[in-house]
Amino acid sequence: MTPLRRHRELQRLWGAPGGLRGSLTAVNHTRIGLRFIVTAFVFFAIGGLLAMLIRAQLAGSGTAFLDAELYGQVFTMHGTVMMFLFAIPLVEGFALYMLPKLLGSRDLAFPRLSAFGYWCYLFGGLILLAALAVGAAPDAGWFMYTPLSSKPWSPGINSDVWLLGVTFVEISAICAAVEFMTTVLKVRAAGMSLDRMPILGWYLWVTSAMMLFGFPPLILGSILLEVERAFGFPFFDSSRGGDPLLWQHLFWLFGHPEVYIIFLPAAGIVSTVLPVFAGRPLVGYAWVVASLVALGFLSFGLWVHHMFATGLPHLSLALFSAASMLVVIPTAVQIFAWLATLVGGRPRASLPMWYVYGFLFVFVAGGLTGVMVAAVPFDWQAHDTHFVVAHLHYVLIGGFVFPVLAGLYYWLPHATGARTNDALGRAAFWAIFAGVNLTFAPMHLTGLLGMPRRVFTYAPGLGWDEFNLVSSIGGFVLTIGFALVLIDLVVHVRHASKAPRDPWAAGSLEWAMPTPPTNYNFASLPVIERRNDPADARALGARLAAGHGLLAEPRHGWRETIGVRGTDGEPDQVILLPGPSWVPLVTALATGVVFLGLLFKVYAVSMAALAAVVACAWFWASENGLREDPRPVPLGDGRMAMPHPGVHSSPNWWGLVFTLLANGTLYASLVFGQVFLWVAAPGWPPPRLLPAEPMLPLATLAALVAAVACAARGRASNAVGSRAAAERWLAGAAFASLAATGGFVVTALCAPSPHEHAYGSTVVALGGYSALQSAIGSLYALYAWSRSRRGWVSAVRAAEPRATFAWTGYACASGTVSLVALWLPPWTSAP
Amino acid sequence: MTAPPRERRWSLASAAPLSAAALLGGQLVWSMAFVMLYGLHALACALVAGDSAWLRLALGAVWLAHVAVGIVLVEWLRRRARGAGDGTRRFVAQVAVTLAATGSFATAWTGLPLLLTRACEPPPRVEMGSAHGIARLAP
Repeated sequence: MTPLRRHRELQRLWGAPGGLRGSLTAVNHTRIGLRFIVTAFVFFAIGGLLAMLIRAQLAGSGTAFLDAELYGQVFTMHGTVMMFLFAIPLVEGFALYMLPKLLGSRDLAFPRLSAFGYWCYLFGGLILLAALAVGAAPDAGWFMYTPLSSKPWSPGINSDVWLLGVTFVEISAICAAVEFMTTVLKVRAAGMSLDRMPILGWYLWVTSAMMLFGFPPLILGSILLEVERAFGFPFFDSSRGGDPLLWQHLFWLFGHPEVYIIFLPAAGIVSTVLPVFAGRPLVGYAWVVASLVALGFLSFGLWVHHMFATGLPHLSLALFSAASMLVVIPTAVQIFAWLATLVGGRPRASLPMWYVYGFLFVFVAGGLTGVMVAAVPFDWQAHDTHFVVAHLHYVLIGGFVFPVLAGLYYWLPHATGARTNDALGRAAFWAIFAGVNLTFAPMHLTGLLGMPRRVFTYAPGLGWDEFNLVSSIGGFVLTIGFALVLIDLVVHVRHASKAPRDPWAAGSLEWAMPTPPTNYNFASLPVIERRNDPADARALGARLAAGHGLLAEPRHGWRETIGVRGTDGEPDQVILLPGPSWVPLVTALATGVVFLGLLFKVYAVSMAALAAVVACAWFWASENGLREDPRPVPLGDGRMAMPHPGVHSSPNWWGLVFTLLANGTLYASLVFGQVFLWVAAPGWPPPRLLPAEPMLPLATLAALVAAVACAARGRASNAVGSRAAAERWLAGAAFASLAATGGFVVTALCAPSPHEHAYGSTVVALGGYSALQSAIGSLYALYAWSRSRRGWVSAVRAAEPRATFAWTGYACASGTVSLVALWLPPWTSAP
Repeated sequence: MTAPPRERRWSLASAAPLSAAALLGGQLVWSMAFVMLYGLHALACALVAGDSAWLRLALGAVWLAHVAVGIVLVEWLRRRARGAGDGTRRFVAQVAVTLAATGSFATAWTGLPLLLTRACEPPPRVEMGSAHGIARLAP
């Protein structure tokens, strides 16, 4: 097959239909990634305009430009847009675009999930923007502290918009986390062992692990607060056994790792770009990997440092203060690795490098003020003042925006295939660098002089006027800088000349492909023999295009890429990926209707839409699979590998494992909430408990165990080829799961009034959660039964029975914990 | 029709002698120490009013036990790393030892406040918004 014919066949095979239909059904990672990135930058512009309104208002004392109410919406939306609609989605879009190219594969593990995530992000973002347009935007601060965000103090729809809109958007973050975790683990080039993985792959892997564990507490907190606002369950109301501090714990359990979720991919860009322009490989690869993993862990031990002023005991504060200082060390390891790379190399100037230098300066300054506020006594002085605003902007702009701009200019020729022009870009860099420092350096002083955050105006004569004026001028310089970047991008896209392949002589895998990228990335897949392979991306690109790699010949109309063992990168399967589909868009639309129904309190619509989401999920899963048992197929170098439907450690299996980990984190946060309220909230013990009833919990437990036992037998029968027996056991698992669901529903109905005291609310929450898990387990079993009946399941194609066993196992484990948490208090306090 | 040969479940195991648990072990020890110290402390201070020497002793014991486990883990991993050969195994072994060592250090560092403060003492009351808006400790 000639390279041109191979290109045409693969381009057609991996492409989407033309026109609107193609746009709406596309699942290709390059396309979805670019969509995420462009949308995120649009939201960045909107967030930036809101920042300009803030700076215009604060430029002088007593300004009447915005009133307090509007100012509340503007600063809340500025933070919300920048964090949830710009930073996180940009990280997702960047990883979506880059990961398969870095890892030498043709797409991510779950292409339809990428598309679904994008639609959720877009629709959720539009809900928030629509609220802003009609003057009903959230106005209780981007971290929505209770009781300000609770119903009595925020009676309008504003806080509901935040809770539901952001949760809708966060679905895309969880989807991305599951997809990236699985992709880095399984979907790599042959031979790409852990030590040969590009450093950016490690960064994105650790980031996605943090997203997997970081977002569930926020999603849980948002659900609980929305339930409190909509139905009066007092989780955060201290007069009825709730506690506003629970919100702060749940929010910052997410919120602090969030800072690192944003920072790590940006640091990954620096670790990729800097060595290219320093002319030598990154110093201390293994040290950097270790520091990333350590950062991933440590960042979950810092959340209370946002709560130093809430009155926790000294020792608690000291524990978190110690951990907050500790996290400097792995960050410093990276900074020293970068400096050593610069010192050991021969750095050449380029626009991406200017942004890297800007990053080093601004981020280190922000890091140093971070060490200051990690010390409790200093934090009490600076808490809730503009000093903290200055610190967080130095960290986030220095640690995220500068590296992102470095990455933008570095990979722009990759996405467009055109040369960048430094002249305008350099002017933009200096405007941004000057603007950041002019805006935020004086803000440290306004903060130290006592100016609080989130005030819409201030009196003259406090010594704040001059500093604020300088900050506002700086803010506008900063905006001019970003406007220059935008102009530069437009000029680039319209008028730039064609760039050669690998214009920076990076010699890394993502440049060993045509630019702009094709639908399929690599015409044949590379075999990696050492890290930083290849040294000559152009030569490798030509060899791969000529078919001197793996899976070079398209066959059966399959979209194929290689799956590997996690550690050593040995191929262990051929992954067959799905093509363009309406399902992601339709599922996201149905999900959107669920959220809109909740927002406007039309719960019947939400329930109907939820049923549609379940139907979509069923159809989604049914689109895949093989009717015949697969046989190993040649990879192209003499080796054979089984198509993934016949492999146990397939991406689908790992996707389920990671989904369960995220689900378990949400559940652990819920249990933490119950224990926290019981121990720390005022008004406990509650006036009434569940009746000390022995039969109901025992019957529920029996149903849980029966479900998992049936699922285990179903899986085992299927493995030895007894299809009829397997189907009987799977049907049994479905019924037993349904019985367990009923047990938990009855428990929730037996709870003392959930409106009267938070105890009743927690009983309903725990019971409801476990009922939902068993109900999903029932659906899994039913789906496996149905697929087996129609011939999609066999001893070799065993994904459905195995997934049923895994889910019912999780439902049984978490359900047992719920039973203990629910019934131990009434049993132990019974006379 | 037969089932496919059973594969190794978690492929880090294929980089024997180190497993995933070994790779992340040091950090898991730190996480466990952190959760135990923070959780036990919060529970004890809420349920048992006032400071007690026993509480500090118990927290100290939890802390030192985790430090000890961390040190044992470092030593065990170091020995196994010697036989790890080259390439991927050596890399995984090196990273595991580094993570275990940093995890042990983190465990030791995080617990140091136990030596410095009383267990359940509430923080002083802070007044915000004085003349210059600077927080002051209430007398």
